Amino acid sequence: MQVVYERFAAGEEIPVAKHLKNRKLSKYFNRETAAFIIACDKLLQSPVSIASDTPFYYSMGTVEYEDYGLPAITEASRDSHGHFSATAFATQGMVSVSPLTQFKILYNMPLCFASIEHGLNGDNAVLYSSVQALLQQALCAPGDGPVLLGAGKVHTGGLVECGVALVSRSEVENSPYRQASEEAIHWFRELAL
Amino acid sequence: MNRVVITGVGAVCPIGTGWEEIQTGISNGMHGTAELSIFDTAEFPTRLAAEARSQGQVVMGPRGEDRKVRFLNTALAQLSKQCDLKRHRPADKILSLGTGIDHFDLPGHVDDPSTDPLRWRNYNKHSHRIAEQHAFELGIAGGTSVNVAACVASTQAMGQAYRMIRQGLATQAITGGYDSMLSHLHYMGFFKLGALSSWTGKPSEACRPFSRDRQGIVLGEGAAVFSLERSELADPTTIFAEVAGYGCSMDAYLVTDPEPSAKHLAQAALHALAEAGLSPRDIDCVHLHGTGTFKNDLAETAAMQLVFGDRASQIPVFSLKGQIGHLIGACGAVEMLGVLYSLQHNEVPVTVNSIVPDPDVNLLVARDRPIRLPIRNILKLNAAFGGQNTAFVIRKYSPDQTL
Repeated sequence: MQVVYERFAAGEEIPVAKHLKNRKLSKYFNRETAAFIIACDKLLQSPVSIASDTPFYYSMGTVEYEDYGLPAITEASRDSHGHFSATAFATQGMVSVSPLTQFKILYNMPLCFASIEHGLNGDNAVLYSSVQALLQQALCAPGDGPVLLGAGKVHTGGLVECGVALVSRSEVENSPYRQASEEAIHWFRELAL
Repeated sequence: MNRVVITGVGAVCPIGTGWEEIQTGISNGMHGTAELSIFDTAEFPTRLAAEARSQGQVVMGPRGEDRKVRFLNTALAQLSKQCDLKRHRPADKILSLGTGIDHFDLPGHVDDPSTDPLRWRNYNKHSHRIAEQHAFELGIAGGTSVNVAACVASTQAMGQAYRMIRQGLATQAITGGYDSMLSHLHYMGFFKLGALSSWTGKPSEACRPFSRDRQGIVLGEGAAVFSLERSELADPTTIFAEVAGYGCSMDAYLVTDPEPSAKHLAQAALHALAEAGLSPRDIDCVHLHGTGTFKNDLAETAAMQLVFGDRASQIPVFSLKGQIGHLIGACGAVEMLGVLYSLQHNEVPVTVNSIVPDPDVNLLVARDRPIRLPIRNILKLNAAFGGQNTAFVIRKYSPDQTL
């Protein structure tokens, strides 16, 4: 099993651009996607070579952090009494947010951008689930080759953890974590110890 | 490998609540899209939506609620009445559901006088929590999985449920999807992406799959859940259909657009066909993703040509989205009701609002009247913003058939 686990402190810049073939893509990334792109690049750079149809499954953690501009939307969506106004929201609240923000909200973006970066076209899934669910996904993957498993989590304040692993079917079958109900990132944290 | 059958259905969507009402809605070509009514959209740049209905009335709830939770609860209650969920051992049962992003109650958050910068978390409802709660209440101990792969979340969830039973890791799965993007932030977020229909005619005609005058998607909401069982353990009188094959792929092209050649969507379809032990000539009709967008229509047409060759324009195709809009994290599961309808009635329904033929979308769409034919095998395709694709082969169940 090959594993990469990355962790960036709250407020720490995540230097993703140098890990991208197309650096302009970084404008679409939230902290979770940026960190995951770095982890994937470190795992999949030469000499590791994997087939383009390698199954690839990703699991996110419970949302604890927002960076899509909620404070600005909130302030701009009040009426003169300080209460929510649908008119203020529509005419001022959402105007304050870039359309690019939407890419930071969608949960499948870490897996999709990593797949684009590494040309991965195989079976895939994006989960909001436990270690158990992620490993079950791998157990059922088509074919008999290795599987890519990933996970990410942005904690309150912006600390981000992510991990990616290239695992064999037997490693999944024999994993002591097959029934683990913790968030998927827990497995990578343990593997990295 | 085990055979997998569908033995129960529960659903809520813009054309009705419950399998019987939804069948009637499909049959009658009911329009589920209208102007959004569950919150004030007077100043919104667009107001089109497909709200969930029961007996013709929009399902209403308290201000700020996470509507997708209500829909899942309703659909699971229907399923529980229909199926004996205690026939299988807890460790042999799984819950595998697809859904969308967390609900956020923006009005509640704005009106909260607290100055705590983390108060937003009180108004953020995590999409996966309700699934975990239901798994506990239903005595499911074999695993709980919540898929959030955007527009293929529910079909990926169903695919995983099918695989778990097929490979002997479970004997029953409760699976499907639930979603509602009809809240302030999510609705306007989709508008800012430029994805929503700009149709200015009748709201009921806003979603126009395969029609040359298509204008974009209309957001819908609802839930559909199914009981999947290992065929030899199922009560034969409860079997709706067999899940015979599943395929999944990734375009790895652009997150915003489908890969134009559609080779990976076709690859998913061919994988599902191979798993079902079928060839493309065995497929009687195709239920497409059919979002009512230019790029989706062209990509699906290309996929049809790659899979079916010269037959691509002769196989009837269908999209339910003209009636129910795009349910995002629940779309494929709810559209599976259309698949069951076709199998039960030997009919490819009219794709509502597909009025103007597009020479670049050379597909056989039922426009004026349903197409009636013997239907044994159906291919169901879905694709996601981001580039993920899924394909199912669903067939009439026959105990003598072998894989």
